Amino acid sequence: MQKPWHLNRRTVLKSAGVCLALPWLECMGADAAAAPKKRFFAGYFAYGVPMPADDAPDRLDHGWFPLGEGRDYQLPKMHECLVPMKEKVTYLSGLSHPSMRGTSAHKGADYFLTGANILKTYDKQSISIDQHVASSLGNETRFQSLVMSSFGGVNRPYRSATLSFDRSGRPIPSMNEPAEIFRRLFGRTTESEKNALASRGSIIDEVLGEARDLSRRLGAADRAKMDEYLASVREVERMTERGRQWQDTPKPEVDGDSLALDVNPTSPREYLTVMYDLLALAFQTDSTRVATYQTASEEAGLTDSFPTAVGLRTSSHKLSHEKKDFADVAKYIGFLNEMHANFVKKLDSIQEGDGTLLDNTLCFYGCATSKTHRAVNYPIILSGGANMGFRHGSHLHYGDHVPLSNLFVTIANQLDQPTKAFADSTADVTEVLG
Amino acid sequence: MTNEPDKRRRARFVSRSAAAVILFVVAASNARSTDGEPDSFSKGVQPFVARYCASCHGPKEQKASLRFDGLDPDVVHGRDTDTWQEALDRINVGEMPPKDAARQPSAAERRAAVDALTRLLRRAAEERRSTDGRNVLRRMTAYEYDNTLRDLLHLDLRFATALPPEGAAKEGFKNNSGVLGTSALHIEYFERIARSALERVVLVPEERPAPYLVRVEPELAWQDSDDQPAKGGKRKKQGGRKGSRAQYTIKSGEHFSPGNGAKPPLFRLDHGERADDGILLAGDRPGDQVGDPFAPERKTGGSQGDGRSGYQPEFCVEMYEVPYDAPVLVRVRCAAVPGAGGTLPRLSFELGSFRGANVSDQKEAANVEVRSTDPKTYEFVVEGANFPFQSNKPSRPSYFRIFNDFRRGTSDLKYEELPKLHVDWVEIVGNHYESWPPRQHQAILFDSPNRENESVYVREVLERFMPRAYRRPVTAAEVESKLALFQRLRDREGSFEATVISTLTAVLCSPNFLLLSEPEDEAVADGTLERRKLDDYELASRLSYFLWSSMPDEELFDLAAKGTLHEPDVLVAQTRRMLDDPKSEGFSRNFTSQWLDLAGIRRLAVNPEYFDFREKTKDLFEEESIRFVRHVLDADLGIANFVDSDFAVLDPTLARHYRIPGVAGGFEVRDVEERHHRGGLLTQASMLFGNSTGAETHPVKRGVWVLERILDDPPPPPPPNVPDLPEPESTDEAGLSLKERLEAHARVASCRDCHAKIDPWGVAFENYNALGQWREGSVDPLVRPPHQNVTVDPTTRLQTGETFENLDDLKAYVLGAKRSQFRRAVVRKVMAYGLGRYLEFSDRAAVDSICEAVERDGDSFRSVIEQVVLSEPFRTK
Repeated sequence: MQKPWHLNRRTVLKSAGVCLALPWLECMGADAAAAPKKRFFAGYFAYGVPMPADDAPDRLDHGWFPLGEGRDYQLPKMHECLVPMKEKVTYLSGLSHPSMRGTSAHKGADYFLTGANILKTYDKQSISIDQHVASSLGNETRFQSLVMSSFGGVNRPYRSATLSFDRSGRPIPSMNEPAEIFRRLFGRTTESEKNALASRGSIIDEVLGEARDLSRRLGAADRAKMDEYLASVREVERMTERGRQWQDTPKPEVDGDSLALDVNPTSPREYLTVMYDLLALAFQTDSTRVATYQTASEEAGLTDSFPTAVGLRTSSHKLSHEKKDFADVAKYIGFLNEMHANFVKKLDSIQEGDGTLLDNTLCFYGCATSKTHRAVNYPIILSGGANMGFRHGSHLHYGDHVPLSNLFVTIANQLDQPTKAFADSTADVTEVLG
Repeated sequence: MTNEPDKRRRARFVSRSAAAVILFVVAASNARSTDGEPDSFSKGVQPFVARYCASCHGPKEQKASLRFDGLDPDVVHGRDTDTWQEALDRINVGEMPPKDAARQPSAAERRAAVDALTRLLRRAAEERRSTDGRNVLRRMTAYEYDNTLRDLLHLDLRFATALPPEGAAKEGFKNNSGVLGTSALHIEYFERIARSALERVVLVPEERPAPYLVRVEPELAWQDSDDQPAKGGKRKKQGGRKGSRAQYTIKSGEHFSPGNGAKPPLFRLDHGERADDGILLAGDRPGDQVGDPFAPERKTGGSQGDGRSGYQPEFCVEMYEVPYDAPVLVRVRCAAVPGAGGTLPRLSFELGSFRGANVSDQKEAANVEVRSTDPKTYEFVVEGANFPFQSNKPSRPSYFRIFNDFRRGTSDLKYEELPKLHVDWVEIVGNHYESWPPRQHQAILFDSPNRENESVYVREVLERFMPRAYRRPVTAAEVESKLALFQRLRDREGSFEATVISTLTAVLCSPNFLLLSEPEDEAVADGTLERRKLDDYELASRLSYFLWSSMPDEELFDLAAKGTLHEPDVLVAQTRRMLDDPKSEGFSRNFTSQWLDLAGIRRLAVNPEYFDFREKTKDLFEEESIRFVRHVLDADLGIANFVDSDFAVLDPTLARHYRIPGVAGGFEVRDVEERHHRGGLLTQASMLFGNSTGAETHPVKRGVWVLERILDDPPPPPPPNVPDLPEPESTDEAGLSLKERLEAHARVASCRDCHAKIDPWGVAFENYNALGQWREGSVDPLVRPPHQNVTVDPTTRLQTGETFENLDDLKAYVLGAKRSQFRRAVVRKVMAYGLGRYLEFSDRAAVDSICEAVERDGDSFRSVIEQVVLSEPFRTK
């Protein structure tokens, strides 16, 4: 069998047709003996899933949740695209964040990965699971994490456009423009950037000094804002340190011409494809090991027209309110599943060490509501991560009382971030492990 | 854990019903002031709860573990605000009290309790986000950052495009301190952008780049001796004297001096008319006959017809490898050939580049009316980098397109009657620098006797640059600190200039530059601040970010230095001057789009099953509203025009969209008559389309928009789990009009109270379809079949009893009975934007006195702005 990545230092991302040269990756034999890498992806989709009754004739045609528990479950039609991956995929039902069960709709992205009780005040927002594991997984790569959404920025509290929150519960802006994400990950380092890196340490010291002087002359409310600025500058300081470690390592060469970098969410299929491709590339080139992607925002916007990808003129929000005829909404969620499945399959098509990239990447994908805006029984797909101890092939159903954060505890522990409790966790979830 | 408190409390009560009442009385009198809602609780909420809720949620029973007599009756400040919210939601949707309860409130009782609790909870929400009526320091928004760099560096580039998009506060304003976070990603981009901007300004000494010059004499493509190639190139010609195309390649020599090895440019003339010494360009093609003025415009390029807008006669130069990171000078020698009624041509040019076959990105660079009938030379300098210009495909040419933007539009002007632009020649100069080094460079690295002495000179440079960047005088220590940074960097950086770039990058990453802050002179020990007057520099920044979305200019700095800016007459004079400055585009654009939520236009897609629509028309929807507000400002008109006006700001495309005949030319202010059904912001497509479904009207959205944006009386958010208006389910319902469906929906108890307040406002707009086009009767011919059958019925009745026959009645009502509420709404919106924060209860007095002054001034929009500037909150920290 031909292994092109061994022969000519080029490997091909199959469905995207993206070529990239990997000058330092382990496939060159540099550190083949090292422990497998550990990666984490968290993805989110908006507005919940169709849920026909268990005895409804269209239960398997239009439902999201598998029928039956354990290994012998029946998989609804909308997951057909993941059938070939059955042994690397687990479906989870029943889990939720207990403190947010009573929340009104459209706020899921704000707490999906944090599990924080922000029902009454946003002050209680806390770190998201991706950033929690990034503090250990993120240290060996050029970027500690990659935060993406189809909306960009942070938007505003309770209509978040990002899944990721830092240690202080502050939102981390998401990137939404493929060309800019590509530039940041793979763009050639310019002379200007090299100079910048050399001087940045001194510049940051200077800026921090100024910020501290200013801070002393501020009132309490101002000071809170100032702290945010200071924390961000310090974060850049850490990034600079990291940048220095990486300055002699060229960025991976990826040919951007084969990626449709100028698409936007008005072409949903093309846009989601390129965003997932960028995620796969980021992992494949080991540019980062932690990434989140909020595929849509739960607020009116371009992503509300995603159903046009499957010929539907109804907004995704309106689809989610359907109570009887689930055909359209099932078709649409099936499309989102297909996009996500393509990503998972792509990771599985890329060899790494003895396994595939997917075996070294835990993918957590779901939504913080199930049936029309009910913030319980989250639909969740867990895939990959075999080399981190995750075992698949089942539909695991939990009672309504089990916090999703229990799964986060397990994830953190398997991903080298020893954790006793996360948010409101009460235990861990061993069933997902082998 | 013990039940002690509960037991004790229970023991106090003798009888169930008496208990609740007694406790409420006691507790309510202990409550803190509810500022302005003194009786809401005791009169509005308490009796209702005591009568209808306490039996199940009181001392005897605590269903759902809820016990009202244990709740903090101070809804606004207390600890149980969320429980009260929950209670409101349940009462609101008719879930509580339950249907089988012995006592049922009357509709009026229910409404009274809901209204009282809603008011209290709205106040609670305000309290929660309160900043004690102070301005909190905030980061510049992305667009303010963009403008500030433009003015600081004298470089008109779009810097902020890579910054993460800004969110908006709940009431729509993006400059609200509460939503402007600063993340590491922001700092990373601020540094990157500052450095690359400075690299374009602070240049290492080198030779002046050679200009790249093209001069086009159009008649060269039209030489009479048919087979004779035009001088300096070959030509291709089709058709006759009119309505033809011609093009030729410009070769090196007299008219073309390229950079290194550039491919020669191509000149193309499309449907121009030949004249002595040049060509005549009309706004329409000679062959286009006056026909149906409302026929859809010709589509060109791209699947959506969104390619080049080049259906007009045009004069186009396609060029390769134009140096795009340098200024480009375009010179056009032309004269006006007036048309019927003294109409004048508009010289317009746009820059763009081809994306693919027939598809290109383009942007207008200039659009001016040409008045002189004698030839004159018009000059425009543009920064190529601001345009979709030689993007990522250098093999594709960029182009300069010149055309006459006086279009026939919906008028019946014949070709002969159209004003024409007589173009003699066009010159394009790449690498155009008026001086070398460029003036931006000289503004930072100016001439000085100390230039040879680096450390002395750098101090001079910093002393000149830093005060402008920090928008205030800087201390010696601040300069020293930057000087020390320069010295630390000097050895590592390759050159003096590179070190200056890094040092100034630090200035542009400083919190003193990026954050709009109003600190104290001395350290604040306990974090509390006295309310104080702003100093004049702080005031200058407040003014400039309010009216220009950018930094102060020299005049403001001078007045601040003199210490006179805060004097009321100076403040008013400056406000007027600033509004007359082109930079006040910052206000008219940003305030208008945030106030009216023009972003709604982008959020929504037009359903192609319903409408034949060119996506680019959305730009015009946005433009119409912005230019409308601009005109009210420029002409010093009253705010009543926002509700109704006898003029509209239209261009031929919008006139076609609205079916208004007789509109030719470009974007202009035009009188409208009653039969046009236009006037004010309420009849503009931006609002009407932005609050539709993209296919059908959406009275609820339109009603909410009026309440939020025009009357500043936002309805409470829908309770949890309230679905959208359901699609018709039974066949009976399918035949109902939307209005009838709404009425059916509002008959459901759970929806009634809120929708009774909202829907009537939106129903009055029913004469306007989803795209904002007028419709009446039972057929809307502007919609595609089979969706043309509608029942248009704009008659409606407000909950308070007023009836409207149509939108005119609604407008009259707002400007009549609701005039002071509307005035107050405009004042509050302008003020919230000017302050960059939510307004609070403590601002009420200031808002009152602004409203009085504005009323005295005849309700002019300018006086709203002036009075906000003069108000206490604007001038204090």
